Amino acid sequence: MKLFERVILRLGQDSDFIRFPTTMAGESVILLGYQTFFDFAETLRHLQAQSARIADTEWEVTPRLIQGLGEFLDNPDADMLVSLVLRGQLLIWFEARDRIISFTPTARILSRSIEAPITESVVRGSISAFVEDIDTNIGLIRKTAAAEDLRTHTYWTGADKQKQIVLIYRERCANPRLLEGIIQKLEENLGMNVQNLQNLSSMLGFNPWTGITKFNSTELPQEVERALQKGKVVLLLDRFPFALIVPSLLTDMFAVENDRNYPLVYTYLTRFLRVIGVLTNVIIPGLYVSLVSVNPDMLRIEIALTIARSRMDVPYPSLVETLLLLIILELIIEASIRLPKSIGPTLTMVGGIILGQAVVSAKLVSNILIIVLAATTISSSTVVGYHNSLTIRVFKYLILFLSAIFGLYGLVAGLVLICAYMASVTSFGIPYVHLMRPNGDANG
Amino acid sequence: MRMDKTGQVVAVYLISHIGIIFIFYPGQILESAESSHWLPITIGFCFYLVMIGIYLKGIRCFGGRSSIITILQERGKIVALAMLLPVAVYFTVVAIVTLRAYAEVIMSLFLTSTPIWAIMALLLGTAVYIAYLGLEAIFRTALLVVLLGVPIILFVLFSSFQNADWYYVFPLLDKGTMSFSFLGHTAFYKSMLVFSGGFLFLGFIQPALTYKPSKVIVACVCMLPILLLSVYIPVLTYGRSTAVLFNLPFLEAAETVEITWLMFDRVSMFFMICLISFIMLLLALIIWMIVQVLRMAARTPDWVPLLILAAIIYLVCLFIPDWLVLDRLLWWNVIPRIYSIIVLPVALLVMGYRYMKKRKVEAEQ
Repeated sequence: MKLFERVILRLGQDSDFIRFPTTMAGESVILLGYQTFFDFAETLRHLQAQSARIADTEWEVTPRLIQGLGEFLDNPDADMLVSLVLRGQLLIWFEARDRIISFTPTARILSRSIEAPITESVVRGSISAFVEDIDTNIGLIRKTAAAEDLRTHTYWTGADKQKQIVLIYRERCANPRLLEGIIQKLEENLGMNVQNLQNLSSMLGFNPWTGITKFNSTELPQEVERALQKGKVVLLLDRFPFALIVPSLLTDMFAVENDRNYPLVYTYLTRFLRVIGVLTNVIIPGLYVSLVSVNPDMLRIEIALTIARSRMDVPYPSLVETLLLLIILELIIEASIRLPKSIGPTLTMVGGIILGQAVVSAKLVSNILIIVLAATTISSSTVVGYHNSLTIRVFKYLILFLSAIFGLYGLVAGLVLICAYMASVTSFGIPYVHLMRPNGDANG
Repeated sequence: MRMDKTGQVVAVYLISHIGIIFIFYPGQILESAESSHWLPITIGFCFYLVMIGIYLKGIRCFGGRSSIITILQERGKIVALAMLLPVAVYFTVVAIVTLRAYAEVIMSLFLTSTPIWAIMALLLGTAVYIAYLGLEAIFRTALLVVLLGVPIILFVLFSSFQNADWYYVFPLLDKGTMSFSFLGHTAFYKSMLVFSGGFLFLGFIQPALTYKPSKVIVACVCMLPILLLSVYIPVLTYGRSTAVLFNLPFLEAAETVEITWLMFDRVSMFFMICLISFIMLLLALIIWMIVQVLRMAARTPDWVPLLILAAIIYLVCLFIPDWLVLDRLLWWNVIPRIYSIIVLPVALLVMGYRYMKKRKVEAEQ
């Protein structure tokens, strides 16, 4: 058959591609597939056991048993067969009858097992996290959400339709305009290659230069459950151990689902703490610069003198001083992500010694600045989600520069500009500054 | 997604008034009357309440769900332009005066050595950027700014009673004031400036943002205590005869506050920076409204009239040398102002009644 040979021609040069002739139910068949996707010996044993039962039955009279093997492919074309093989299916070709069955083999385990989350630590609450395998993730969500109206749609994207994206929502809760918009965009752009979130965001038609991430990513199924309940929509990417929640909102910076495992008072107090953390991180460096270089009269005279004394030997303006140290701190954060866990502590120690003592005694920066920047860096990590912490880390530079020029007035202008920017961001008609509450929930 | 945005509307409403009240209002009221300042405040406020009531009622006659631009355009483009261009002129002058005056205040309080063109550039730039982002962004920004600013405002308001001497409240019933002598004083009419910028926006924002007029009226009533506070805090701190000498009586009163546990010396500055953020939003809103009126004349993308307008405002501000010119500009603007806050609402109400009558007749036929 020409068709089958075309498939072999396209994939045959791969070393892990197998073409295995055998007999099943007294007929000669050829098995095609990638042996790296499945456990070949186990699959073969399974097939033989099945075929022993089929042996006596008549093909056309009782096709049911044969159908039990897998899916009959009526009028397949080469592209379809190739894509089936690439997704891990085993093709069984009955030579004499010219029929093809797509068989789901015993899969090899190509993913981690379910583990605790790596980027979001949970103190009190469920700690199973998503893994690379998309089916496991869907299963985890189904298990956690336990809702009858949970709907999943699979989209095969890319030029040769090999990359899987799964859209998950709850029929009764999902915001209809949001859902419609996402489905429409996904269907329009099915041909795009989605290898990373930038690709995905251009697929959904988001501005690539946005300063605020449009996806809230999480490793935890309970976060997804809550988001679905609030009417948001979740996207899962194959081989991506995070669920992507659309839209990402301002409140996602401050709230995680696990806060609700404590008494309500502590839920609110923790969230309030995170708000303070974000404000501290954004405002404090700018406030330091404006108070030191532009508006020292704002300070109580004792503090003003203390700061002036500590800056006495520092040779450059406070903006340069702050920028210098801020950049070193950014470098430390970046380096500690890059480094393997075993070397990480060394970096912290070196960084601590350099910043804590040496820089001050070398009179390169004032020691008040060290305190200010330590507060800034610590508070940048109180925000929920690394993607959000990136946003506020960048915002603080706007305020820093405006404060250096205009003092407190610049600081306020910067804050208003940031507020305005956040207020102007919308995704699928839902503003970033918006509370999405689940139906019938009083304290959303 | 058309939702009730009363919260945002109330936030913008408060912002657009508070920003001006604490700077301009107390000086004028103190000048207009010797004592019993509550009377001119209440009279002015009642007049304002009536006007805002008429305005909202007028909009309501047309179904209450569309902006006055569409309402007037239905009666012909010429009518709409004739009725709204004076408002645009008025708003432009208000924007110029506000920008220039606040730049001056900022310069005298924070940045004595910074050139005023830079201060104005940042103030106007921020406002134009926000106006460019559009109506809904303005309102959402307002909500965020209110959340950040109101705690500070309340803190300063409460702490500024620190040096209050309650004997200054008396006499509550002063003969001079009770004879309504303040009505003959220009300062009383100047004080009305604080009411005039703020409420016209209620007619421009629908149907993008819908609100409940009754709640806006409630928010409006909340303004009375704010007005009283703005005047009485300086009076209680310094007494009328001293307070009237200051350019910015409220800020001078807040300057006297001494909080030992705070690392900052001047609490009033925090109050001031909140007011500045409010003013940025007010300017953005005013500029956005002018652009809406201008776009009626020529259909262009938003940014064209926006940039032209910003350039005009900025250039005019550069050529204003001092407060005296500013004051004169305020006086020249009095006719468009009277038109905007009295004639326009009344005309709208009259048109609204006629429209309702016509519809009733049509329904009967």
